[in-house]
Amino acid sequence: MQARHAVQSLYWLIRKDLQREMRALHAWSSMLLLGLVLAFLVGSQLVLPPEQKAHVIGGLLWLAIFFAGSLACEHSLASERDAGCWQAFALYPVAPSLLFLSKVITTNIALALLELVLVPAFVVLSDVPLAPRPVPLLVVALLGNLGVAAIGTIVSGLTAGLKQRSGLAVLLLLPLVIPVILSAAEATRLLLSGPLDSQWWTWIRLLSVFAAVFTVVGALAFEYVLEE
Amino acid sequence: MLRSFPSVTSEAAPSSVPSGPRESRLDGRPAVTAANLSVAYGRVPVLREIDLQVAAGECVALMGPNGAGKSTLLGCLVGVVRPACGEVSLFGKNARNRDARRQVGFAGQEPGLYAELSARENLIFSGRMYGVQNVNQHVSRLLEESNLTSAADRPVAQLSQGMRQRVAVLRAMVHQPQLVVLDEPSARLDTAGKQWLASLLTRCRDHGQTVCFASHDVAQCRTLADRIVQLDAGRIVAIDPGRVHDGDAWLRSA
Repeated sequence: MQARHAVQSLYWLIRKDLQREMRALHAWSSMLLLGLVLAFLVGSQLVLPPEQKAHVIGGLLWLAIFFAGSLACEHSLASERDAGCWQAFALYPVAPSLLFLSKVITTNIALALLELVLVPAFVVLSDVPLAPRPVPLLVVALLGNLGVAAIGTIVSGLTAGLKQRSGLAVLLLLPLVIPVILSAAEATRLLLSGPLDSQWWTWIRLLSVFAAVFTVVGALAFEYVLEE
Repeated sequence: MLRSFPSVTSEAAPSSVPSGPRESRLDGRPAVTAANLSVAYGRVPVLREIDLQVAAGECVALMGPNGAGKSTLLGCLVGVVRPACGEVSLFGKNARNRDARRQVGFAGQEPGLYAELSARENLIFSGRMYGVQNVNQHVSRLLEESNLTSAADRPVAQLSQGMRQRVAVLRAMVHQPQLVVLDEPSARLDTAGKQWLASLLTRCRDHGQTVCFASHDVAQCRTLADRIVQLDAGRIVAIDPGRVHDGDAWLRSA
């Protein structure tokens, strides 16, 4: 019974966040716009031979995902504070880890949407085929998104009550997210440069560990993040 | 007037306690126990060694000047503010316990409503989070009884302050909590709204629900509360008897 209520609550929490975003376009529209601007800048300024382009495009893609996605990350819990709903949110009789998970999933949806726009934009603007192997790229994206979303949700919770949170959230987020971005960028570079070898699997394992650690730590610590 | 509430999936349904004089309603069980409660924001003490017990079915008002610690005390009681020292228990359980929280309905100074969602959607969402059965019908009935049907499907951002406040109070009560905690619930209400609030809190009392609210309105506290707790500079400085206990005569003056 409790498990059923938990799953239902998770669904209603995510649905509520998506409903709010669809109606008000708080952060996702800015995120997509910034992503496109970054893709255009990269595409227009990256004058390199095709092999060298393929070598650096993965890192640039993940930097663009991080900077544009940080808007969605920062907004995920700050939106509860801005709406004056923080206390009600903290008091719902579900596990804090479930509240955390709902925000992580919502941010994951935002990042997936961003990638759906950014990957074709990078392909068109930089002329590098980013998806020669769509399944491994999907694996990298899922793990990278999970890591960024988990760290982003924790940082969003920690900075939600602060006046200067926008700049601070990115400043806090950047050093924490570097291992995830680095692993995702390296895994993307390797899958673009040849067959998937043991080195690729090493980066995937590292990415999995980062994503798992940040998700578990976030879920366990979220009770304290929710406190006034 | 509010009719009966639907069942919720929480473990304990509120016990039926007769309305009328305070002594006949209260069975002596403590609903809220705060012991040696102290809170500081940074180095600034906000609450100092507060001891407070609220009996099940009792209505307690907190009064005091701005900065006296009323909102912080209410936050501690419901578990959203962690005290530096001391403990709060709700119905014998730690205030941070999930089962204890299920029995609490809280409306803070901020309405706690999502501006992009309608009043109905806000209430339905809250009801679902608390596992209210037949939540759509229940919310429709609540809105109808509060004369909010015409505004129910408008986004909260388009509602007046008074309407938002009514919806915020309803949100706190949508799951029929055993303990209702309201921080200045009448702050944005007009005269009709205050009468609506008085009848709503009276209904809570009739259902045996415990009510704690903070207010600056002396008349409201004297009318509704069994006890008035006066706070100043984070300390309880006085506990006054509230309304005159002559049956329901006080209701007529509400």
